Amino acid sequence: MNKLHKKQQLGFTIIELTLAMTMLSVMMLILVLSTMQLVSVFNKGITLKRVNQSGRTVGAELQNSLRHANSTQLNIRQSTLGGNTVVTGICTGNTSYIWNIYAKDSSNPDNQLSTSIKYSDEAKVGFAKVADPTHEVCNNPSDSYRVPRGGSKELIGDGLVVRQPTTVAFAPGGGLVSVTYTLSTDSVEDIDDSTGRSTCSGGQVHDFCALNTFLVTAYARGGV
Amino acid sequence: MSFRSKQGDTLIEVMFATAVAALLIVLALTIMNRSLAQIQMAVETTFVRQAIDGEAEALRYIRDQYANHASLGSAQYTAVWQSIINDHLQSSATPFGKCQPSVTGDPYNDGGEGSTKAFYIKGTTSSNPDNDAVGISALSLHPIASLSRSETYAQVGRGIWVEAVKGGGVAGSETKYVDFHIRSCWDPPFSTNEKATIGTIVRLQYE
Repeated sequence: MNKLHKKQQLGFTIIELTLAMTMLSVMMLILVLSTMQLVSVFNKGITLKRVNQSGRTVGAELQNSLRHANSTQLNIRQSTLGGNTVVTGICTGNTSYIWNIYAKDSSNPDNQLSTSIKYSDEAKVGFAKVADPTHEVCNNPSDSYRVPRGGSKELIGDGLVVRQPTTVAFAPGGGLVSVTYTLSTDSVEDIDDSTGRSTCSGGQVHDFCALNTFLVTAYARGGV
Repeated sequence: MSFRSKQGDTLIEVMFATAVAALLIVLALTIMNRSLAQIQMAVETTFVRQAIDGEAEALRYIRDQYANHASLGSAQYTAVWQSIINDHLQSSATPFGKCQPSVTGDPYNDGGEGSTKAFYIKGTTSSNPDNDAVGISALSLHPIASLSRSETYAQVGRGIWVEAVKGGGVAGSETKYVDFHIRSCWDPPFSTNEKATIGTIVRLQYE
């Protein structure tokens, strides 16, 4: 009994401790890496879903408005960004759509440029649907124009922005309209604009980055 | 009892706990990856659905240009419509869920040959192949032979095609119509052997 008691008080040898600590370290490492991977996959899923959901919302609204539009009333709004002309809106009759375009600053890659279209409360527009029977969105392309908060609806979620390519094209006769729009997360680090077409590396340095280009083609037959 | 409680866990207990933790992590990762694949599939389905809707709108536009003869460019679209009616009508369409040989790259081995009269409508003047919107400025009919396999999701001319099935001829009715079967086929993300397919049917009267 005394011998047993003595043995119990001996504790662990340095070999036992080293082995135990090594095993524990490996287990902890695997656990931490797995948890990071889980969080990364979760963030990626959430981000992809947000971009897709906003893209579908914009597409459904645009298609509905364009289908009911009279082709003679269709018009676009253009702005200047970094010396280039970009499309920042489309007027479909009673309803117009207006958005800010974001692009990486070529002279300072850590910075990003954007057009400066704002709501009446000075908040920046993402991609808005506006009740606009007078076509003010297209008739007044200056930065002083303010989108009325009361008569508009923001279509994309927080943290999403519109990038290039975002274009509007008309078939001869004007009745068939194609709107290409690119939605992405607003992080500048993982976006590459060097080719004139934004791409996203999907990096996980910060939040997950996602970028999708959607295409809506609609036949404006409101006047037919 | 007191002596036993001071002993700590046995090696078997530690190994068992580790195995359970590992199993849970693997299970969670599998579920997350599967849901990620489903989200990616939803994104691709959105793109393909938009392209199919666009193709349907282009067909409606061409039909109306043919019917109206009024707007600019109607002669061009009249020719496209007449080409459909004269050369591309077929008596039945490929069943839903099937792919064209040129889309899959494999012989069409589960329902006979693919349609040789199928086609797609797409513009050809785009200087930027990534910008499909520009292509609507010169819509034209392309035969099925020029259909290619999509690299990612299906796009018009790359995995999306149209089959025109002749309708009408109902006794006592002079109405003629065409059922346009717009189909798509592409490799889904995190691919299995199954192809992803979506389709719709648009009925257009023309006389």
